Amino acid sequence: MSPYSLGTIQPPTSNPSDNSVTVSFTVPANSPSGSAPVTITSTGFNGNGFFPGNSGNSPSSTYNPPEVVAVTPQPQIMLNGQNISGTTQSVMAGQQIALTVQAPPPPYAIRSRSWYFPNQAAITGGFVDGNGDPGTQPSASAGGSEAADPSLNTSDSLTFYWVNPGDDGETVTYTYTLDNGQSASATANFNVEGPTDVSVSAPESYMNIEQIQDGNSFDTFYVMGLPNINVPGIQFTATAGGNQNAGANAGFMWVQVLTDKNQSLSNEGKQNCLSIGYPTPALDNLYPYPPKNSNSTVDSPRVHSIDNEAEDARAFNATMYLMWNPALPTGCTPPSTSALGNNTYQTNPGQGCTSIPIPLGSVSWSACADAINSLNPNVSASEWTLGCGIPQSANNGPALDTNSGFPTWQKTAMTKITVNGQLQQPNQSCAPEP
Amino acid sequence: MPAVAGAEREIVKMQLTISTLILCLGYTVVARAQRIERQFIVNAIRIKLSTDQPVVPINDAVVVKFTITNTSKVELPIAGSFDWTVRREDGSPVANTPEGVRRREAKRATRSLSVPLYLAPGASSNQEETLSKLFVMDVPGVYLVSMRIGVTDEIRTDFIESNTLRITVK
Repeated sequence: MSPYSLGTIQPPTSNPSDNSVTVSFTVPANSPSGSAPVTITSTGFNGNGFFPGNSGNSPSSTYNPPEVVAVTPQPQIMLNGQNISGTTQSVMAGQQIALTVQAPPPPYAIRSRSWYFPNQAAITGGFVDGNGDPGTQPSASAGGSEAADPSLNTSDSLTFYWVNPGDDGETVTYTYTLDNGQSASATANFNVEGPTDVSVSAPESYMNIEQIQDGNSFDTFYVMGLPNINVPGIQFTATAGGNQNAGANAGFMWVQVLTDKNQSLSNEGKQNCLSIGYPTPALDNLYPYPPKNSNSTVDSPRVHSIDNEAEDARAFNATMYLMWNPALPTGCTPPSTSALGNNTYQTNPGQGCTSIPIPLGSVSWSACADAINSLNPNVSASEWTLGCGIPQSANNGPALDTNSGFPTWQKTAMTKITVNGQLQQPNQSCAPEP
Repeated sequence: MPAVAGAEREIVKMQLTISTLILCLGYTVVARAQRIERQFIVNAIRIKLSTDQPVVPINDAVVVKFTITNTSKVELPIAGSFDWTVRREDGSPVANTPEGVRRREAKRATRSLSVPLYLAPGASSNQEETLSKLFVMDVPGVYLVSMRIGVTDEIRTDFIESNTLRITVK
């Protein structure tokens, strides 16, 4: 017996002279395709079958022709309350895309479903804390990492972000299989807007010995560049084309991570360390990194040399990430950091944005220097010379890597800066080997 | 004729070379930060101290507002530390609090992050500092407050000096 058997219907006749009966029945909407045989059984004339009938006639007759053709409702991919199946939507990279598919009408039920991206590398589940916890935000204290892609076969809703600005013709296809075994699909197309043709120039200055007067004495630093007179150690400047007309506060954002295990300081052969810890990379103090202006930022690593030391050395390796946040919905405030001077910074965690910053590329760079105290007894103050310094001359700087993905960190390499009015105390101990 | 064609090729090559040089030069000029003379910065930056409360009840917070203004027509960095000085009316220096000592030490710290305050032409940065966190100002009397920012190049440091503010604690 078919699972869709309707059982017995009593025809509306009792007159033995009727030569026809009309029986109406309805096949359930979620029936599978196939024939719907109708068997008519006569119980009249002593159970001998239809009248006039000869003895021995079968009391039953089967009529096969009715065919059931299953009709499967098409899924509808909804975005912001609109059915976008079969359409092309223009969206911003980093914009939160929350798709849903409505349940089919009763009595249909979904047996299984799946979402499919021909180019799944073009989406992300988000930019979240260092543990990858969904729904969290990256921060200096909580870390930062890319969230895993959303599950593609467990839910009729899907939230994700495109990360490939300028890429037209991306698609997502939703397919469900209903409890009648039938499947149906819907596809939505996306044109992903945002910055394209991104480039970052990162010209470098060189290592200098700098004597900074402090009252009647001098402090000696070796510093990359001469930041006091507008020569930063390295200046990152981003340029890009494409459609960047997103939220009112859309824009570039920088994140720098330090990639060496320890910021090595050696004093007469004894190594001191700075605040990195494991695992690396570690965030360079603040999220995001403070900008110089809307499309550039700078850094000028330096070391303060102590008069009674004979030698100070430092190695520095970092990666600066360029990101872009569409700041949607418009009017929301993405996270920001402002430099106030005096090694003081103000951070704002942002408010109201559902969009995320997407990575546009990164620049890995390094610097190191070794300052030597001549210990010349004929000089009243210490006389420092730069034993070696890298870079030793100005240059066009390192290149942009556009395939570096999201920055990742779990710890912050904190140095003595003032953030939101609080002086930060760095960890000066060497990190143990894991 | 071949000679003329060769000359044309040379001219085209020269034009390409000149164009390349101009492009490279242009890139270099755009890419490089423009070094600015120390004395120019000192002359172009103004520091103005002010307070809403010139007379402060003893043990209340002493808060000073300061405005740093770029009076020039170019963007300028403020990379030096802010050196506050608080003196009594007789000229004697006022000691730092433990927090003030930590702040002074911090400016000598090795840093992995160093971004100056950049001021656009004509722009100002309005900030405030709670001086009673940095200096021992719990003794009644008159305090003279000033601030300066050093501008250093390879040779020497010059200072941008603020006005002197008079605050009475009583």
